Amino acid sequence: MKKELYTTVFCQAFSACGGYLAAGDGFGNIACYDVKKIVELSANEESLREFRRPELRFSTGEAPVYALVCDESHLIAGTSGLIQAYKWSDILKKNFKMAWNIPIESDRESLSQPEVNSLELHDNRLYVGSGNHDVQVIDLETRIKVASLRGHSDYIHVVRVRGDQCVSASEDGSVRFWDTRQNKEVSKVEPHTHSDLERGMGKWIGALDVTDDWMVCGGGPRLALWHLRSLTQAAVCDVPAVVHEARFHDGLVLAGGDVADLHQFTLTGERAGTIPTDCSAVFTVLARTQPTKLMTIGGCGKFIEVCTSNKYKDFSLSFL
Amino acid sequence: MKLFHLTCDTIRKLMSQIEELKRSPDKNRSRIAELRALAGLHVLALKKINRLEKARLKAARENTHAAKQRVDTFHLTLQNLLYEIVHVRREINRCLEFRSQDEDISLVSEEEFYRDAPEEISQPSSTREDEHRRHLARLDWELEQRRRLAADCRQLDTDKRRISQRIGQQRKRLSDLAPQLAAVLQSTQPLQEELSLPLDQRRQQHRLAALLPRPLYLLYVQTTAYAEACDSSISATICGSEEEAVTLKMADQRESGDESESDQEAEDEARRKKRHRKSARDEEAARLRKLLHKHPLLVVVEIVCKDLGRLVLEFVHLTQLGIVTVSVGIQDCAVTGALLSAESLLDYLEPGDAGSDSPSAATAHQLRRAGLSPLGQYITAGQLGKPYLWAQRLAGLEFIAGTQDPPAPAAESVAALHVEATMKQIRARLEARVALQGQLDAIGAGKLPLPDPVSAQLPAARESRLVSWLSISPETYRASGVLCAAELDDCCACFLAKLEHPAGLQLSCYVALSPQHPRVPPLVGLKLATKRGASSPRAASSSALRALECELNVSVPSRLVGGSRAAVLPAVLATAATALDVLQRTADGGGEPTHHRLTLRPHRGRDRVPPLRYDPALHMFTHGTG
Repeated sequence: MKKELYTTVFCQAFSACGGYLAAGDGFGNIACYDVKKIVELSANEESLREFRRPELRFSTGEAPVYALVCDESHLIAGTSGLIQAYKWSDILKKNFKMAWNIPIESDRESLSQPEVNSLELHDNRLYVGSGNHDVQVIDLETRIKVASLRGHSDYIHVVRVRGDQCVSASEDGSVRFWDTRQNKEVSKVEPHTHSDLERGMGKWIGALDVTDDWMVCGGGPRLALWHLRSLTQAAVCDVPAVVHEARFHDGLVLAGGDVADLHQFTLTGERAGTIPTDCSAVFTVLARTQPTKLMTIGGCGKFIEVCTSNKYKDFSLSFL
Repeated sequence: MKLFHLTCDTIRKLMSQIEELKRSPDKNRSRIAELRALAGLHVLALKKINRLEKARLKAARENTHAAKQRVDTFHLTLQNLLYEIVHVRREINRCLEFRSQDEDISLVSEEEFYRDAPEEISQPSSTREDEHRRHLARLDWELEQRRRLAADCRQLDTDKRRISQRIGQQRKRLSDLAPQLAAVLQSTQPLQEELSLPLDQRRQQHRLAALLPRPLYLLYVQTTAYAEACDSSISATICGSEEEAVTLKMADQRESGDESESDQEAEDEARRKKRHRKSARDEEAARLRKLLHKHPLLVVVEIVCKDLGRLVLEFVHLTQLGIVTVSVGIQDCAVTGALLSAESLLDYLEPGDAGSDSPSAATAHQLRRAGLSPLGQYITAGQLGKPYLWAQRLAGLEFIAGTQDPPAPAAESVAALHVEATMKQIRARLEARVALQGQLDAIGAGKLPLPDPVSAQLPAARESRLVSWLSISPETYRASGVLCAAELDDCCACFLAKLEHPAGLQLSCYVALSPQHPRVPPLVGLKLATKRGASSPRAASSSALRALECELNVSVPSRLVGGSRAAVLPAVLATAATALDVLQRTADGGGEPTHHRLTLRPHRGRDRVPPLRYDPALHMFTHGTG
């Protein structure tokens, strides 16, 4: 019972069909929720107070699950030293056996296995940001590493891929851009060198998201919007503490960190609103507009907040 | 008759002639004389007639008399005959109605008679036809049977008398024997002492045991059985007033014997009581005494724990409330402290068993009906021992929480299961408390006493030190706002420990010790602060603190095995101190001096937790799993 006090939801992912939400926590558990029921709950006034329990819950091991991603038939989870994949059809039948896994080895003599901090699917390739100093690119059909993007000097926090560009943010404070066809570093940005971004909370970048023109990144340094083509800083979003997660959604920047609220900013850096949550820190935000508008927020605490609009929290789901 | 009349007529005529002649007296004197002579003749005739008449009358009278007599005799004979007839008739009736005694006797049925009677009596040949004979034969048979049975009866009577005589003799012999045996027992006393066989004492205990109420009896029996079989350092004795117990038992027996009389007595008593007007307080005290009445006998169980002292438990049965209470005493214990107070030593032996209220749901109702305050008040005032749930179980009383039914009568099966477990728990509790008190004393003096296996798990040199250790209240713990305050139980003892690193970070640990320490590990809440004035880096992130709290609450106790489990408190504090070192080194802005690396990776994962687990083989901190 005591252990569950310290549950932290680190990652979430929608299934490919959009019917299920999967969330992973710091003790290696994954919980799946039925999205249709969630949406029904929000419409029903009486059950707004209920804390919905997950439909399914299983354990991937002892290590925290820091990253989750879904392809058409699999739920892929990044744990310590392993990328585990489960078939959705198996999960829904309560058969929690791993379909396949890819081991991640450490790239230097280390005594513990590297954790997987970020997973991104693009073009049938899996981009892995892990405890190693490089971004690994793994082909999903063969499940063999095809490329390794080296350049960072510390471990990778976030990896994002857009078009033929891959962007990675790391503990060393740099955000590097890679060409996915040639697997070479194209350019890099170091927010902590900018005086208006550095604030003494460290140089690491933990939050990163890209659209076609814009990039938002932050962590120790302040959350800032960057113009991609010119790689210049466009605006600063003022989040009072370190930033763990940032997403572009519906014309807004959603940002969460070591504060209890989810902050929303416009693309010009102005504050658009805050949604208070029951978590003491926010680690993951997931949002979609199709087929229904839904936003889920997870972090330090056993609740996942669900919002059906951008303005306020509708209700909470329980992770336990 | 005619003659008479004729004569009379003649006389009359003459008379009348005379008369007529008399009228002329001179002329007719001769005639008168003739007439007179005639008249005289007629008178004579008259006399003669009269005489005849008389004679005739007499004769007639005699005739009638004789006839009458004859008639009388006939009459008499008639009467006699009538009487005789009546007599005879009566006789006949009497004869007819005569029921001889033999018809009153119920005889065996004819079939049985023919079956059972011997030949010479029944004589079936003659009796089958002749009813009279048959009857006679049956009567004979009956007579014979009765004679036989009378003889048997006499025989049995004599036997009975003989046997009762023998019984009387033997009784007398036995009663003579009793004082002799007592004398023999007396003389064996010194011998018993020589051989250290406490037979007398045991017999006395057995006698007292027969007077115990059933729950205490079960307790005594089970404890002595357990002591004999498994654990010789436990002993159970019965103490108390034997006479009172005997009177109580007799009163109980009388009560259960005739209840109608007792109702009457109760009414009388009530009436009598009403006449005495006592003050309200006296009445309340009387009601209290009656309801909280303790059985005069109590069972004293002594548990000797080696090197630690003796625990003396007194079990008392409250007869009206039907529960068993325990008074605890600690003797010969070298360690003293708040944790070893006799009142609270055995609280919460199991979760929820505070001993502060009666386990029986009926007690509250009984007390309320008598207008008294709830039981807890009397327990805290010291008038009663504590009614622990394990004590009820040892006494065979099983209370199901929440039901209104009266408790099931004491069951032996319930008591037998629990003796061993309870004794072990009590022993373990005493050991744990003594150890904990020692640890608290040492911690209060600033030292962290760690057993060797535990200190081998931690780095040899620690820079952080324990600077203060205070006792706080559970409210303060809750008010501190640490994450685990939600799990706090009010029965825990709370403390605040402050650890400080020379470079500036200060860690406040809110520690809650459960009464079941060390089975239930301490609940630790953390708060990090920077010492004022020191030029220190920014305090570590909240994720790191969460991870450390999780480590201290969950991982450290689970990694302690076997004997070192008792040292969980100093282990937790020592781990916290070493973790504070790590936090200091890995805090952003600070650097780790490369010549003395304690960590390989200062941060890991999306929440950037520092490595909090020390690997003694590598002399480094690692991130634990993976």
